[in-house]
Amino acid sequence: MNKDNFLKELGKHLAILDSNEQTDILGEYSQHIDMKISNGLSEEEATRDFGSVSELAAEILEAYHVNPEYQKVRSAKYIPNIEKATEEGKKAYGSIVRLLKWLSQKCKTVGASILKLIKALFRSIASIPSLPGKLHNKIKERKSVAYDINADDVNSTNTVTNNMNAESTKSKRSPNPVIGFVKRCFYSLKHLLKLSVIFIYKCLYWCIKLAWNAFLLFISIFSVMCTLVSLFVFALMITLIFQGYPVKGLTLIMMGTVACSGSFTVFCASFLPFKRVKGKEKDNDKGRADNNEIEEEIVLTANLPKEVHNA
Amino acid sequence: MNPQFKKGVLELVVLESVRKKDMYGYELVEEVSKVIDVNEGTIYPLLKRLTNERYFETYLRESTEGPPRKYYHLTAAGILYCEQLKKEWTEFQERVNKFLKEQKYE
Repeated sequence: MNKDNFLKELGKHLAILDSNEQTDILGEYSQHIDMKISNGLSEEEATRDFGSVSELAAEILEAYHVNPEYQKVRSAKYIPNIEKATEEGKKAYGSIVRLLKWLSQKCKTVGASILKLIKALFRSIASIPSLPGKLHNKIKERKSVAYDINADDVNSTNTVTNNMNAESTKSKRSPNPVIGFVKRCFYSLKHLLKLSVIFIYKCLYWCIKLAWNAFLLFISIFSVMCTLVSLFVFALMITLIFQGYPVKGLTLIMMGTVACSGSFTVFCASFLPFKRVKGKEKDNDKGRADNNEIEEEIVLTANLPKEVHNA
Repeated sequence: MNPQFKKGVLELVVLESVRKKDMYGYELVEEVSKVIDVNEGTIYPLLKRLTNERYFETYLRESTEGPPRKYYHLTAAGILYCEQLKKEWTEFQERVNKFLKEQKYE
């Protein structure tokens, strides 16, 4: 064993010692070896005289009152384990990275699907307030269809009066009035249904709005009362403190209550007018739309008998 | 020689050697080796222990050849300890000798 190997080996055994002590001892041995070499011995011979490195290390450790067996246990068990552990750690790191990648992918897909769901929800929610408008559009479509039918009927009657072959045409066109009547009845029924649906929808909407506004109003009034009461008690506590009563804690609590209820009141108040104004605007719009619809319905219903009559 | 003998006396020899004059490691090993045939490696742990127990002081001194050498110096506590060890040793070896002489082989 040459000098460097010897010192390395010894250093491994002395790893438990403070690094300063290690360098101190290793310095002594390296100096000793150097001296021997300068006296004409080879490195091999110089280190051979020290005997077994582990025994030597055990003796050195004994000088520090360190149990040499502990170091042996360490070197036997733990040092190889460090290499193993690094390998295992690398493996674990790789698996963790893979898991994280997988998770992120899953998260992306799940997030995308949730986003889609939310979008769909929003679309459906957004479509609810415009339901009357949609219905209105549909009614318009139906109306135009009805007018077309009407026009057809008018044409048919004209042809009937103009044509001399009345019987043949009658036999040909006789099913038309019945079908038209049935159709008109069907359409009127549909309109009725639609109207009732709109009515129920509006009723529900109004009820919810009213309940919500009433609730907000109630809450804000309640919180205002709370604020006032707590402010009063707070002032009372301050006067009591000035009179020398030990009510500092209560005063602090009251101050907190004042702040809490005050801020809550402000919160509610900021909510209430905003909601109310918005609601009013919406309601006005709705009202206009409803009026238009109702007018159109009236026109429609007015047309219906004519059509029937024409038919 | 029985290594157990060596181990016990080595401390005394080392202390006595350094008491004469301050020495550095290799010098001390050579000095001790004249008296006891001992593994050179085992002297350094002993020096370390005696230093840790404050019987030795160490200092560095430049040498004409190579790096500075670490010299060992016996402290007052070291001198007391050395005296005590010497006394113990002389008493011990006298008793052992006496015992050995008194033995009569029948």
